[in-house]
Amino acid sequence: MESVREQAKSLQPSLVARAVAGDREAFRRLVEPHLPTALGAATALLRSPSEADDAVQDALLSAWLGLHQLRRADAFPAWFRRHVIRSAMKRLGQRPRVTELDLTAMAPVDDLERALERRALGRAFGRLETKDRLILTLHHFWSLPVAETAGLLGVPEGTVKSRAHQARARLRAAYAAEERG
Amino acid sequence: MSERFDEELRGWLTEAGRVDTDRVQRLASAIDGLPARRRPGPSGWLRVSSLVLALGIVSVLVALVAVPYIGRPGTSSSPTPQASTAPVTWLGDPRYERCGGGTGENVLQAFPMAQASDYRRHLPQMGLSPELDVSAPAFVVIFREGHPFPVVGGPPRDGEGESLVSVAPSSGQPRRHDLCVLVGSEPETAELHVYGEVDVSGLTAVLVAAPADFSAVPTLDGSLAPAASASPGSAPTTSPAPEPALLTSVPEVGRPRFATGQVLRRDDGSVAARVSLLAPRAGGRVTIVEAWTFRVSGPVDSEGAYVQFYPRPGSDMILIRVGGLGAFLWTLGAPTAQLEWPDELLHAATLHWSPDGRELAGYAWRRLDTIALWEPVEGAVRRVSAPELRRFGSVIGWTADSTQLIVFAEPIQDGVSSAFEAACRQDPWSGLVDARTGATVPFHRGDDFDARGGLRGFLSPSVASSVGAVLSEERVTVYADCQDLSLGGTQLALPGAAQARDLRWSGDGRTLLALAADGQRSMLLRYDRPDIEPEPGRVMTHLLPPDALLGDVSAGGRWVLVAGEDPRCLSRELLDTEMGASWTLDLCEETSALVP
Repeated sequence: MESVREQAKSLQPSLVARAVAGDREAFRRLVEPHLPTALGAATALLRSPSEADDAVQDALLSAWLGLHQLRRADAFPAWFRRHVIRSAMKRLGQRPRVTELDLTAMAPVDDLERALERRALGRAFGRLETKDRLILTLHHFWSLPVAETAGLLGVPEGTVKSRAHQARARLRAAYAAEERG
Repeated sequence: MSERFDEELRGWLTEAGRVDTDRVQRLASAIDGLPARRRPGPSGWLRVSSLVLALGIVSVLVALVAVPYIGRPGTSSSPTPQASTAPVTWLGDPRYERCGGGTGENVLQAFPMAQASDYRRHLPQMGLSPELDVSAPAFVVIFREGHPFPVVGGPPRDGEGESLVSVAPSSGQPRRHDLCVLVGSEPETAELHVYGEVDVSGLTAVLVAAPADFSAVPTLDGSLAPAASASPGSAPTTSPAPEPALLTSVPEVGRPRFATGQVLRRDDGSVAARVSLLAPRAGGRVTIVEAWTFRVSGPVDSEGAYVQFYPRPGSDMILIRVGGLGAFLWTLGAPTAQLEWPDELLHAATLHWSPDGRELAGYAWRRLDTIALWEPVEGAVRRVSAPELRRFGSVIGWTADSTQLIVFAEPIQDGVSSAFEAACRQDPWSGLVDARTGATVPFHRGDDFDARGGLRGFLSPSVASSVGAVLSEERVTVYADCQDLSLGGTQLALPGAAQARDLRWSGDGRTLLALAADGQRSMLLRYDRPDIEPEPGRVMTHLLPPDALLGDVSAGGRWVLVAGEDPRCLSRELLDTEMGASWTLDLCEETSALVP
C-alpha cells in the first residue's frame, strides 16, 4: 500500500499542472503539507508570529504567481521553501521597530529559571547575523540535507558545513554572554 | 557538550517555531483569495507614457484584486466619516504639495513612511504594489474624494515636460480612497505613484514631530469659555472645538484603546497640540482610530504647556487637559466640549476619576488641607478638608465604591524631607478620606487593606512605606529597601536578586502587577489574588529594559502601559499580560493613557 507521503508525491505533478492552470484548490493541496514547517521556520527566523504569517503569505503569493517557472514538479517542496526563506529574509532586512515579545516569557514563575535560559538562548539567537540565523534554522529546524541547503543558499556544500559550524560557535558565545549578563 | 547544546538549540527552535493549526488554517484559507494568475488589463486609468505611472496602474489593479488576500476584508459597510480637520501639519511641505495636497480640504490623511515598502504596514488592505517594495523613504497623501492628480511621471528627464493626468472620480465605495505615494528622499525628483479607490481600512499612520513652521496650524474659530487662570484678565481664546477627525471606521479595531497627546508647538501665546486615539492590531501594529489637531491661544504659564489625559471610567469620554490653558471633554465620535478648568485644580499635579466616573479629585491649589472634587460635565466643584491633610500630600486613588479617597501625606520638616525619611521612618500619614464628610481613617502598619480601583502601591503590611513608595522614582528605590511583599497573607517571591520597582493593582482589584528589576532587566510579574482566584497564578509576562516604569493598568489587569527612556523621547509600550504580546508606540508623545 502506498504511504500518504508517496501518494502525495505521486499526485504532485498533476497538482502542479492544475495549479499552473489557475486551480487554487490544487495549489492549496500542494502547499498545505508544507505550511506548518514554513510557518515554523519563518517564526523562528523572524521571531514574530505575525511577521512570519505575513512572510509566508508573501511566499504563497510569489509561489502562486511564479508557479509556471517551476521546472520539475517533484522539486516543489524545495522550491516553495526557497520562496519562504526569500520572503522571510526580505522581511529581516526591512525589520520594523515594532517587535512582539516572545511568548516563552509567559512561563510560570516556578519555571522561571528554565524560561530565562530559553529566553537567553532566544536573545542570543536574535543577536546573530542574519546568515547565521538562517543556516541554523535550515539545519536545526528544517533539518535540510547539506546539498539542499547549499542549493538554497547558492554556495558549495563545503561552505554550508563551515558556515554552520561557525554559526553554532557564534551562537554558543552569544549564549554564554547572555547567561553572564 | 556540543551535542547537548545542539539539542538545546533544536529544542528552542522547535518551540520558537511551533505553530497552531489555526494559523495554518488561516493561511491555507487565504489561498482562496489569491489573485487570478491571468490578470486583467488596466482599466479606469488614462495611460501616460512614463514607466512609473504604468507601474502605478499595475499596482492599483493588483491592489483591487488582491485585497481579500492581503489582509482581513473590511467588515463595515458604513462609509468613512468625513473629517472636519485637514492635516494642517503638512501644509507647505513640498512632498505634500507635489502629491496635490493643496489646502488640505480634500485630504483625509498625510504621513511619511520611513521606507516605501512599509505601505503594507500602514495600509494593510491596499494589496500588493511591487513598485513600492523599495527601501527609499516615501510620503503618502490620502484624498477624501476622487482628485485630479497633477502627475509627473517619476524623476524629470531631459526634454520631458510635465503632463497633467486626471483620474476618474471615486465611486464612493466605503473606505476606498484615492491616494498618492511619493517615493524618494528628494521631493523634486521622487517618483510619484497614484492609486485609485484603495481600501484604507486599518490605516496605520506614524505620527511624527511636526514641521518647524506652525504658522499653518489654525487657531480654532469662535470663542472659548474663559479657562480659569491666575491672571483673569488674560483669558485664552479659542473656538468651539471641532469634531474630531474620524480617520477610519473601526469595526475591526479591538480594545484596549490608547489616547496619546503631543504638544506640537508652544510659545508665549499659544499651544498647538494633537491628540489621537489608537488601538492595537495584530502584528504589533497600532491603528489611529481618531485624531484631532488644535491650537489654543492664551497665556502659557512658566511651566510650559502640556497635554494630560483622564479617561472617564465607564464612558467614551476623555478629559484632555492642556496645561495652564484649559480642558476639553473629548467624547469619541461626537462633538468635543470645551470646559472651564476650576481654579482649585489649576496646578493639581495629578487628578483621579472616581470609579463611577462622576468626579475628579486632586489636592486643592494653595490649600494643603483640602481636596477638590470636580464634576466636569456639570461643572460643579466641591471641597473636603481634614487636619490630617495639612501636609505635603497626594490623592493616590479611590476606593472601589467611589465613597472614599486614598491619600498619602508626608510631614513637611525643614523644607522637603528625604524620601527615605518620609517613606520608611517618619510614618507619613496615609489613610482614607470620606469624599462627602472629610472623615478620615488612618492606615497603620500591619493593616490589611483591600486595595482596589487601580491603586498604585501595596498596602499590607508596610502601609506607609509602600503607599509612599510609588510617588516618585526616588521613592521606588526607597521602597525596595523597606519592602515587605505579601498578598492575602501569602508571601510573594521575586525571582533571583530582583527587587520590586513598581506595583500596580488592576481596577477590579483581582490582579497585582509588579515590575521587578535585577539591574540588568525588568520583569513584569502578574499575581492573581490567591484569596479571590480559584487558581492563583504568578506569571512572568514580559522581560523589559531595566529602566521600564509601569503606567496605566486596565480594569481587568490584562493590559498594561509601560514607559521607558530612549535616546529620543519617552517611549511607551502596551503589554498584553495574558498573551505576552506587546505594541510599541512609535511616538514621542508627551502623555498617553489607556481608555477604559
